[in-house]
Amino acid sequence: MSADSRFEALLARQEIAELSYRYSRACDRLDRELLTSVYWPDGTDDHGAFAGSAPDYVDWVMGLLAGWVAVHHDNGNILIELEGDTAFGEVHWTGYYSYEIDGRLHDQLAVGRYLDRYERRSGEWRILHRTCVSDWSRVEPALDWRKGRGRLVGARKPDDLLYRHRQLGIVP
Amino acid sequence: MSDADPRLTVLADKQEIAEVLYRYARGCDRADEAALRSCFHADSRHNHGLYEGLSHDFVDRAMAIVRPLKACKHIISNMLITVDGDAAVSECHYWAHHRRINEQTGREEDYYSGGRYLDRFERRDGAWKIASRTGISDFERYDAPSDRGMWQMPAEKIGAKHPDDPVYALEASLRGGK
Repeated sequence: MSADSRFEALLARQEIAELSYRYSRACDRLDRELLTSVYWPDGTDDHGAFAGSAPDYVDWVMGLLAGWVAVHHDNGNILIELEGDTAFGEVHWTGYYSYEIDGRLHDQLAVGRYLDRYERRSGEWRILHRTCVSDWSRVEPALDWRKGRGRLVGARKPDDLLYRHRQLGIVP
Repeated sequence: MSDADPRLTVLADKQEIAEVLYRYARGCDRADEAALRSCFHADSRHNHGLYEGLSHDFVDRAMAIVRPLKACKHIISNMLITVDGDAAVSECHYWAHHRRINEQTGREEDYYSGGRYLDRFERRDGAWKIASRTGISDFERYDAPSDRGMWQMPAEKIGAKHPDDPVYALEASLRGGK
């Protein structure tokens, strides 16, 4: 493999990894526009409870997450196979979900993987298909630690500090 | 590097910035004050939890918190970094665990915390370091600890503080030290 093709592969892997980070940011901050932008318009998603087109998935998941108190997704173990303008990826996710059951706050800790197909069109990589697989999960009653904590607690768009920092030119 | 493909210099910048973020986690986990301090420019500002002030003063507080911990782990992920010349802005995720003493009960507890760092990085004298940091909490949990499992293992198989943890001997071995 030439030095150039190794560099091109490295650049492609970085771009593809950032798709998952933007996907997580979009879910965690309830950023519909950002979530839409990581899929091709003709893309598809299979999340088990939902399977269908990417735009319909965005509607479904935004509605689901809006009903929860908070969501935080970490991604790791990103393994990408490149084949020209197509790529396949396995991406681990760890999700921390905070929601109420019968009026009482609970934490759900869940882990799984995304099995992805990506496509490069006009130089831009996006998700063409994402399947979400769950590996394990547990739900437990939680303390309401957010009460009285003030402004350094995560929030949704546009209230999260991420967006206010952006206005100040501090964060993208 | 001046005539290199600008996409590659950005990639190299992102890698250097990522390693500063990882070094911060190591600094906390191993109570390695030099590693922690090396992540911040001298004038870096810090806004995290109840603390607002200079990052180097925050390091003093962080060391006082992590030194007595029986166990401590920080995982950094989801780095979204934008580079603009010698400045960069970054959002990354952290997940942290502290096995600590609950001050009210005097008993051990497991404290879990997930959140994000919003950072401004600056490259000065060729080195990327944090110029300002805001820490945001997304998730916290407090649980009674379990003593099943790893605490029965030999001490040398359990993570330790600087300089006793095996990572320091491993790194020294590459430099011909051990």
